[in-house]
Amino acid sequence: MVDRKIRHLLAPLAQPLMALGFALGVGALAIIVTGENPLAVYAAMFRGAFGNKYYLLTTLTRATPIIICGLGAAIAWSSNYMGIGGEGQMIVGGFTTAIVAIYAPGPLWFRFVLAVVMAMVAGGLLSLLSAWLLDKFRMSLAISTLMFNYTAQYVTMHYVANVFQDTTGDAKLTQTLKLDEGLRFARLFEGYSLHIGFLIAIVLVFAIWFLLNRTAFGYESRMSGFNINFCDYGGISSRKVMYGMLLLSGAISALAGASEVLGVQYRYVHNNYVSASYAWVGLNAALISGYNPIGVFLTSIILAGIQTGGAAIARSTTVPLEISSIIQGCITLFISARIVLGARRRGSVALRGPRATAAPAADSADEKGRPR
Amino acid sequence: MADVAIKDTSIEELSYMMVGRNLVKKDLPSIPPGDDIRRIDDLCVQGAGAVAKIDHLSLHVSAGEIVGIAGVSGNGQSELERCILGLQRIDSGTIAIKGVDIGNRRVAQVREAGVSMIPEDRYQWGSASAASITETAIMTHYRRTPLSVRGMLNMKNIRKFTGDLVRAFSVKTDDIRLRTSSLSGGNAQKLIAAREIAHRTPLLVACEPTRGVDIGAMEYIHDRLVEKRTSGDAVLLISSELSEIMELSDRIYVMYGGKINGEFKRGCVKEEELGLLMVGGANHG
Repeated sequence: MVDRKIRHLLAPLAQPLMALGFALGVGALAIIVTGENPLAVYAAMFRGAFGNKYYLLTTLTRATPIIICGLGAAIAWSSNYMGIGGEGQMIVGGFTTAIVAIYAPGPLWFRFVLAVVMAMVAGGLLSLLSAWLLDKFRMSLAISTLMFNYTAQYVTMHYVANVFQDTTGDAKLTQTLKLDEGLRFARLFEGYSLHIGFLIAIVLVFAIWFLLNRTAFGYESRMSGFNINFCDYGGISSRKVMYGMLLLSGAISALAGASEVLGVQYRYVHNNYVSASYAWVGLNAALISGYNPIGVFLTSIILAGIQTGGAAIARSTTVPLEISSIIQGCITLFISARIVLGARRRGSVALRGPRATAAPAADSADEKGRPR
Repeated sequence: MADVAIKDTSIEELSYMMVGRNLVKKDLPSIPPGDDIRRIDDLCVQGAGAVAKIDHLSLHVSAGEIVGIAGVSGNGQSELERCILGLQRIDSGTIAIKGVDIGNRRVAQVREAGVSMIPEDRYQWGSASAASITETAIMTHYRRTPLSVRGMLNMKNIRKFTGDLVRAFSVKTDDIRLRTSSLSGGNAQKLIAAREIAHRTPLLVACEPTRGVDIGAMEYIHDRLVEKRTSGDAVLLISSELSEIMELSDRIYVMYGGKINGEFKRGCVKEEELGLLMVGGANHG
């Protein structure tokens, strides 16, 4: 019984770990091509990601926006609304946070709260706009959210460069002024970059898990992700699910931007989130973990570790930085292979009768291990 | 093993007694006819093609009766089913339940008005294979206390509710936390029937309730339908299985080409006659 329970809990992990294993295998081939020893490189990579307190905390700092964006993507995707606008929402969130925090009147705490709230409103509205376009004009969610990423990026660039540009420094970077000290997130450890945003991400993981698994709205949205016809038949308003989940998803992604501004850069810097591709890595984490919030948390840390570890080996060996992109790309590839394989198996069910009905391999680990 | 008077029996009955099964001709306990539960007048649905899917169709269902709609599938039954539940827009005509017009209402409103439905396709409409058995079971129930209170699910009550359904309909499963896809077809169908019957609505629409299920599950579901009818509710049975229609229905409509092509009282029609009407034969009834 206990054994089964453990298996039940571990089942969702099997697939991501397999994908990770395959991806490391492909990465090893790439490393061999560069003439290095893959085992040594991976060991160095692991040390560079988690090896000591400094590296570990750097990885967790990097993981923070990835986790938050991943959660934002996970709730939308798990309810069948596959938006890819996390980046734009994060940009809008970061920009709004910086502008409100710097220029709003009132006491510090008020500016702080207002900045975070306005960021989430802005990100939510951007996401709602895509939802509305889908609802009214049947405009593809993927396309509208993708395009709004560029809109957000360049509209904010215009305002930063032409209105809110920081002219105090020497370097002509496209960035805003710095926030007052009192507006910044506290650091968790003296002298290390990890900040309160990481704790917020943890709280968010549990909040989202609760929302999806313990509330009626979460039930509706998950069922909508499983089978939209079933929801229609059951009388669930798919519109409510769509608007609700996309609003929430946008607000959460915006929070990732707010956390970066308040916890890391202390200002909005143009192109920062785009070049680090936090939102995309977060989306990867959501896909890999099958939209499970706790899975998103762990996967995001692993992906962030691959990035920081990749940077570490690029400094110490001849293996280029891109190795981490290769591994990450392969993970995504193998995970999406699962989705296709799963769909094919399910497709064959109708043809081959009920015995072939076993759920896709990864998900049935709890069923396979038990005597029938 | 049986002792029946000649005037009360038939060849079918005797033959079934001889093979040891008594599948046909359930005795429906007689109860006085009740008020109209469902009335459909002059319903039209055009659909995508040039020929109307439902063409000026009218029917009514009263409390305490099972009304069967016989027909070869593809003659508008699916559209009728979707119209009744509010999944498809109707072009003209009315659908009323207990005198209240529910045409073109949202599904939630229709269900609230007192309709439950065993859908035609249990995997397309009736369940989500990737969801757990519990999750499939609480659809349409989860909004009510005690399964949820102010939007928060009460997992203890949900498990109890599902456990009760599973026991009451003897759905065979090891664990209600498993995926719905782990159930066999018959058991999935029993789960769906259990869920819908548990609503105790004045009207149950049962669409192909026993398609592709084993004999045991079939008889079980049939018994539950009769039980519901005898308790004074109305059942609209849409089925392409003629024997099922003949066995269960108090009244039978034949549907062909989106129209009603004949209406009969129980026992007043032969299978061959229905068969002819189902493929578009002229109505001599």
